[in-house]
Amino acid sequence: MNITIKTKLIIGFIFIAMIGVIIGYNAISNLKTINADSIKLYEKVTVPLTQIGRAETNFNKIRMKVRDTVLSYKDVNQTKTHIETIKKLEQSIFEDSEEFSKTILTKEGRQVYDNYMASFKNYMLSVNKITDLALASNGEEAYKMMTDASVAVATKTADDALKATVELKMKVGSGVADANAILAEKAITSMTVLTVISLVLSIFLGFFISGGINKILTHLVAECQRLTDCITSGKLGIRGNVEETNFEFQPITRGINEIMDALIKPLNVTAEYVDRISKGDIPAKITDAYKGDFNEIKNNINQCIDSIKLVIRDAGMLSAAAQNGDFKTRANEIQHNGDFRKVIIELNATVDAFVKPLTRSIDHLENLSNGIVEENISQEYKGEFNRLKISFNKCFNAINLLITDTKMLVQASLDGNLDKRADAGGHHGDYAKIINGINNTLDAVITPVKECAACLEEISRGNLDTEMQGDYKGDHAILKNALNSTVSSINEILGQVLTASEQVNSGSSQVADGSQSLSQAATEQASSLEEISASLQQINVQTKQNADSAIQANQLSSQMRNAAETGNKKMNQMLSAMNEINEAATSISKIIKAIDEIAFQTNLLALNAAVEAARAGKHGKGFTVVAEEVRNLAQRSAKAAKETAEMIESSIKKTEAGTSIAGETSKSLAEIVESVSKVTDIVGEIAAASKEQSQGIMQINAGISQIDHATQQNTATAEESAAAAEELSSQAVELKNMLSRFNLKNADYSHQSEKVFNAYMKKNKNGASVNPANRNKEKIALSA
Amino acid sequence: MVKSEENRAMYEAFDETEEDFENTQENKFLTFRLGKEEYGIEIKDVTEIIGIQNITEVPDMPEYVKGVINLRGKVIPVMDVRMRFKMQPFEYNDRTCIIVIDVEKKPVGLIVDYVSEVVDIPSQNVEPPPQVSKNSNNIFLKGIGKVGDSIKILLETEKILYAEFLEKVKEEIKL
Repeated sequence: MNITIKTKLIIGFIFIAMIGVIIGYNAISNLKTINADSIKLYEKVTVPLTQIGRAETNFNKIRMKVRDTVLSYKDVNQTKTHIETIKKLEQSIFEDSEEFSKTILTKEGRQVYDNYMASFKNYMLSVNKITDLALASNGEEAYKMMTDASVAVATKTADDALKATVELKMKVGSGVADANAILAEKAITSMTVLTVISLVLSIFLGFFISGGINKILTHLVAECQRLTDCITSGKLGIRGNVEETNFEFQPITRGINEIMDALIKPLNVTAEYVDRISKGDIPAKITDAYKGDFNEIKNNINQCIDSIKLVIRDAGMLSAAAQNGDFKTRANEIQHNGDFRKVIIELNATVDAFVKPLTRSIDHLENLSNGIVEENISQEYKGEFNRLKISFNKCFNAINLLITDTKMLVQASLDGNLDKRADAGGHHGDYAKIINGINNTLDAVITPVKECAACLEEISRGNLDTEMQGDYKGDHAILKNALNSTVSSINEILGQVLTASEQVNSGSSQVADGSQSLSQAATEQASSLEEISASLQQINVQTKQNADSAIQANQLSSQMRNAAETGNKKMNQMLSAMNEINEAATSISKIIKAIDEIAFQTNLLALNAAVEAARAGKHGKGFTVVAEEVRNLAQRSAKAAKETAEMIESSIKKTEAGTSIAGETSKSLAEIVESVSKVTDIVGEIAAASKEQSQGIMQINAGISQIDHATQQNTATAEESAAAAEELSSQAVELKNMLSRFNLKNADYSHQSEKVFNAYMKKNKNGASVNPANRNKEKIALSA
Repeated sequence: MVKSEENRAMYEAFDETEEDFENTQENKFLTFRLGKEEYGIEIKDVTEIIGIQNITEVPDMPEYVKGVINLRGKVIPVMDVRMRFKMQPFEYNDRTCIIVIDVEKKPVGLIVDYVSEVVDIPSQNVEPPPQVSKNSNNIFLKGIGKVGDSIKILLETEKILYAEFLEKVKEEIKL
């Protein structure tokens, strides 16, 4: 990640500032807590201690005043004053206690306070009694009362309770103070820890950030030092490495590189141009823009290039004029300076020495070319120019002989005597070749004409297997090729015609077959259509029967519904009857219970009678028997009652089962009624659907008769196309017979025709749709 | 009618043959049922048999004394015999009976499951209570009576009644 030095420094300082904020916040919150606790200590402990202390003082004052009151019972006014003081003090104690009770914090404190208040009130009751006695001037009684043990106990209790309250408050106060001390200690500890942490973090951050910056700067200085060393030692190609430099200092490295580029480029260009000129490669002028001293170097090089180019141009001009036969052209030496001018003057003198003899030779050749053969040259020439004079004389003699022989051959040709030839022995070199050439020309003209005539004669006889075979050139080759290509074109055309006639023949027989099968299929289609028509008639009749049956079913289902509703009503009547039976059975079981009770009582009576009889001893014997009988009767009636009860119970159970069955039956009947309604609806829908079906069948019938008509038309068309195909086949055979008169060049054309035909057949097999016969067959199969 | 005449004839015949047999109460027992077992008490102790009554609970009584009933103006205590014998308690219904017995002129009601009948068990058909070990002696038992194939457990009436008596007997056994 690339972070600038600025960002790094800002992040570091923000971090340190945040640590400062945390320390400050912690210190403030701790100080607030301690402050709050101090206020609490004052409000809840110090102030109440003052109030309860005042109450204690007032309590002691009351005790003194009571004593005073008792002592001064004889003076009524003084007694009254004392009593009033006591009342005021009591009032003051109550007020202070009330204030104090508002500051009680703990449950224990509340208990101690309540104890104090109770004992104080108890004490005040005693005080009131004493003061009343004193007011009634009953001093002795009052004194006795005051010194009474119970009063002393009450006094002591009140005093102790008051002291206990004070002590408890003191304890609470010291607890709060201790808590404050601990809190302060904690705050100091946490502040110290935070300060140390922040110190360590700040030092670490300082070292970290400064270390990073130092590393970047060291690297940059090292890079500059390396570049300086390279330039001093002439290594001008080296550049500073931009990528390895820290991103923030990359512009510095890049700038150094650009300065080096600007210095080194012109030096390189100058060295290159001088090198090229020394090797004879004259470069184009320097066009790049340079400034100051670089521009002067550029101008000098360009001037040097101009001078050399001018010399080269004039030498080239003279050479070109000589090559073009322009003998008058000379170079202009004034345009050149110094040694370059001397070179041009010498060049002009050389041209002058060659021009005079050449001009005379040109005159002679001009006369020759105009058909004027001159007398031999008699003038004297030196060196190579004398050789030129002898050659001209030889030339005039040879040309005269050549003209004589040529005139003789031309005259013979004009007379139609193409077999006449000249003697080449009297001529030398190429002139002998000219005479031989004329002879050969005559030979060459006559040979192809003769072969051409022979070929045409063969063709006229119907033999197309012929061609010109001689090796001819030029117009004769054109003639030979034209004849040969004509023959091969005729061969090809006739071969193709033959192939086509065979294809037409086989194609037409296929068409004939196809039409035959189409016709047959159409006939089958027609018979199938008749069967369909008959089937549709049957379906129509059955559909009508369906509709009738549906109407009948509808009536039957209505009847069924009425029957089910009646059944439901009867079922409900039965249910109510069964309920009545149930009620009756309940009444019966009550009666039976009464009978059972009576039987039990009778049994008890009989037992008592038996006991009584037994006690009666001898005299009760008869009574014993009677009692036994009564007991037996009672047991029998109990048994009978029990059996009856069981029967009734079972009958109740059965009735209940019957009721539930009847309920289910009633429900089933209701379901039957509902189902029958649905059946009625469905049957009605079936009847309507049957009517629609019948109409649909009529429409299908009409469609079928249309199809029948179309099928008959198909049959007729297929028969017509079969006849046409047979006619085509016979004409193709006739064409083939006509073509058999020609003897074609080679058997390839007939083979080729078979190949073409086979390819055509394969294609047709792949795409069944091309064969019309197949297509018709498939259509019939689909519609059947 | 015919049957009663026969009975009368039987009775007269019986009367003639057993005329000199004075103490007819001797071998007669009233049998009752607790659970599935039949128990018997001597007929001389029985005053009468009544159905279950409204029982008034009386405080500070043994657990088996359920309270007192008002029998024709006479207040008598009632005792649950099942609880007395430390058997499983039984919920009272309208077939539960109270046998009123009179021991030493003190009427007491015994609550039992069901009162069966009055039977004669001759002394030769009464066997002493079974002794499992030397020291154990069931103080309630008078003996085991046999009637046909069945067995009646015969009880000592006064020993059922008095717990103090029971304690006394226990002490004697210990000594």
